Amino acid sequence: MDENDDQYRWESGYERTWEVIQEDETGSLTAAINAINQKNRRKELAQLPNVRLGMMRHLYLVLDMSDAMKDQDLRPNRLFCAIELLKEFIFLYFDSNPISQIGIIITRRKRVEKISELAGNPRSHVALLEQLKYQECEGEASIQNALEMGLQTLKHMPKYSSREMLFVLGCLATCDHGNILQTIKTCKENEIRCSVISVSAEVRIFRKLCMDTKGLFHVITDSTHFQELLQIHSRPLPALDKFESSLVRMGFPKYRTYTTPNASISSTTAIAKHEKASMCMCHLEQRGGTNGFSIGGYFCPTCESKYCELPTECSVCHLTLVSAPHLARSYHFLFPIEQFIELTMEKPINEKCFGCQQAFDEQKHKTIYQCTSCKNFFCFECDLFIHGTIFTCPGCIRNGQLK
Amino acid sequence: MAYQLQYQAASNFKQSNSSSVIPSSAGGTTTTTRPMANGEDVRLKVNHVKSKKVEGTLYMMSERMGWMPKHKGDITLSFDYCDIKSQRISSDEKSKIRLQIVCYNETMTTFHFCNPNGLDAQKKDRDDVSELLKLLLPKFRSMMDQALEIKTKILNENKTVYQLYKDLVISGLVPADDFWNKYVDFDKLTESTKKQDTGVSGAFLSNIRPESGDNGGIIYKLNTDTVMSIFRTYPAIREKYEQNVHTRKMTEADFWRTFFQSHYFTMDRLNPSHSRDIFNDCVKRDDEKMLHEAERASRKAMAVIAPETNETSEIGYGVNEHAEDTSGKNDLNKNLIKRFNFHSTMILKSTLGTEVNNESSAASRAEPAEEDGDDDDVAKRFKPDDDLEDLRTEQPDENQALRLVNPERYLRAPTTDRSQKTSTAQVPINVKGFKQEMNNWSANTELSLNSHLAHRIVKDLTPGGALMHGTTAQTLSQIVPQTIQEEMQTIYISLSELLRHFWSSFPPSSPAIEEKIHRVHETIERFRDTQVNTFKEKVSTDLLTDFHLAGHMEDLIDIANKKYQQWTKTSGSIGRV
Repeated sequence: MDENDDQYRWESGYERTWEVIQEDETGSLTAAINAINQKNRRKELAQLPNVRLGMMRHLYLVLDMSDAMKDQDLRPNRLFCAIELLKEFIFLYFDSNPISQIGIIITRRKRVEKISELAGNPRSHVALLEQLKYQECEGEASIQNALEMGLQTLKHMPKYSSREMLFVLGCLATCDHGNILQTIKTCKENEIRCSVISVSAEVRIFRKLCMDTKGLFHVITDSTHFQELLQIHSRPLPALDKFESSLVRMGFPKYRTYTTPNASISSTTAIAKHEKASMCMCHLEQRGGTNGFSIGGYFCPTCESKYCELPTECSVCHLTLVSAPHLARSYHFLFPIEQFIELTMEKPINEKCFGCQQAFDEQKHKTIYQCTSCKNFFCFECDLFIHGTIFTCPGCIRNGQLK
Repeated sequence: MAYQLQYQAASNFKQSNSSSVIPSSAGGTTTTTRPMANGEDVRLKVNHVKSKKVEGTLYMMSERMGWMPKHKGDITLSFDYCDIKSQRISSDEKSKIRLQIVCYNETMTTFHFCNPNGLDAQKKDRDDVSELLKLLLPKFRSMMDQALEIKTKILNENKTVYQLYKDLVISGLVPADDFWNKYVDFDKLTESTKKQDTGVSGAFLSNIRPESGDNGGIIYKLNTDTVMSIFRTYPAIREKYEQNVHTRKMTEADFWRTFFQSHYFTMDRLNPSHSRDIFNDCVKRDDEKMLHEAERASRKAMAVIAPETNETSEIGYGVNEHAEDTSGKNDLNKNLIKRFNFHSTMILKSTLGTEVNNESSAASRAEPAEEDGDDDDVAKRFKPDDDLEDLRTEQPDENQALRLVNPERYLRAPTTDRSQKTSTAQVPINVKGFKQEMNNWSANTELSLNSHLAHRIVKDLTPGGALMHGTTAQTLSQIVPQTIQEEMQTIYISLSELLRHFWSSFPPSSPAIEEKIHRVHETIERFRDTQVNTFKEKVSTDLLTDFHLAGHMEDLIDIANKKYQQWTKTSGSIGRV
């Protein structure tokens, strides 16, 4: 194993992955595989500080509905599983990127259909996805047609927004009418970043699409991994070089219970006579039910129409409505917490994990992690949780530090 | 309709020498009068056409026809071709030569041709117009049909849209065009229902799975996609199809039956013995094509490997095969492989076909067009590929750096600059002072309640208690009857639709949009008068009056009103651009 730095890669200068895997006493590989998986998960959640991000995203979700999605290796079948996870993804996406928009495209029978246009209202998209579950999958997927359909709309989006397409594909081939490499080049010129999550296997053309457009390519191992990948995609990607900045108009409604100017609930016996009941605009299409029929809600600053939840886009005046905490969420990505230092447990440390209070056990915890500022120790699961979900270190908060 | 039309004396005629382009005047608001746009091309101009006893000229443009009275400069009657349902001609025996236009909205207009040159000239005029109409109308009819179809489909599928349509358009509040503009963008529609280009699937032939029919025969199912794939992959078949089916020599079913039965399609076609098979020559042509392709491929390869020699070493490409190589069984396999290769080559070629169209406008020409010239280019362009991307070490992407001037400001709320008020040395002294003061504090127990009273107060303040008489969503839905709720919902839907049109036109970028703002504002006010006020009276019963159910709607309208007033004031003071 003498490693000569000047050797070509195919001679010996690459990592011999088969030597890394070692069997343990019973001959099973699971422990080794788990360790590798853990490392990868940590790496993917890492974020570089001080990087410009594309916070305002216009994302087209392309869902494959070809024959391959009828396969039952994900329960109950791939399409079902994908749709359930995508519904969660949509809510997560709007949580992390409140000023962004999503549109949905499906591909089957060598053609594409646009299910919904780019819009900022999560509920309508989720309802449409729910309907898709029961439609049939057949034919073959056509990636070129999907790219062209996305191109049509995305190339008119403003320069300061990040244009993205996320493909969820189970097919192993794409049936196109022309040269897909040409279309990929056009996407690159228009700065559209395409990422692919492949449900079946790695396909070279998909990887090429992602590499050329600076997106991410992944192949899932199981549905949990699928969920984690979607989590990664809900975060904003680093901005491309040609980003321009611009001012964006937004509304910040407060929750109000609607009363007329002369309201006074002073007397204990009089019923408050000055309340106005109103209906919200987000649930108008649903007949029946008490949704949105109340006195309080968020009222749009320009047109006074009522909404139950934020963030959303006012359907009357097209103003993006957010609340300040939503925008503050961008801090998670703009000021990320540092990666913790990884330590192996050479000598037994008589401490508990600061996050979950579990005693450190040499057998279970091969590596523990230490925060750079508060010097507390965390186990692997807590480390993932801190970096992936809560974005703050519990030790640092305790000490009053804001990072 | 009895028209008393009379011939005008020839002397009264003046040939109108007007040019076909007339400057547009201010547009009216009715749909029948429209000035001629400067860009419209006149396809036919017929003088001496009378409508309702007034003489004038009939203009047939590319998208509409219009009639202009003789002494005026404006087209007073205009019909878009898509609105015209049909035309009727008066019978030739009658002395009056007339043409009647029937529109979809059941209006009928008659034109009387009164050319002073006599009956024949009149007939000729009318026939000209009629022919042109016959040509143009079918084009617009299909557009109209499609549009109508889509409209009905949308109305049937979507109950809310149907309700909206009923409320707004039928009651005349919103013109139909504006309404449909939201739901169906007709220009885009024709684009998207236009067939998308599809590729040819590699396995399409095997997807034509034969099923055994009832009588022991085999049934092949063909759909449009498969047929298109077959035509694109095998142009020879397409030619045969055109020769036979389009010239009515065979019906389509017959054609496909012969196709499947012919030796062309079956696997083991050794010797095309049946001479009546129409696909015989296809076999020969295919063979020729395969040879051609093989030669080309081998030439390209040799140009790279051994550019000096001109020979084409064809080992493996199937060119120049010697007869003694073939033995019976081998022949079968060879044939099969040949046919597979041919199939794949043709499929790949079918994608290049579209590429040529796309790139022909670009400066570079696509390869398949030019065969001979590119051999040298291929040799030149080939460079040894020892720098494969996959084998390179991964380099981290270079990202744009965030340029934050003062990062600390993002983490804490903006504070006033207190450094002048207290210096840092001062702080511990202040703290000590505070601590001393706090020593003197004592609890003021006068204002605290005893626990009994506190408990009662908390009980009162929980929902449902004596003090909490505010309405919650539950009480609302119970008290307000269902019908009222539904009516409220429909009013909200219509109102939000109107308001959306209103708000989307700010800031106005063209006079047409300013016009729209005025119109929508009027509509909203009318809406208030009609629907909102009726609703308001309905809910002014004792029970519901506390809730002010129409209050929010009025607020929505009031705010829109305020914006409108503001806008008219500012635009009035600035002056129209």
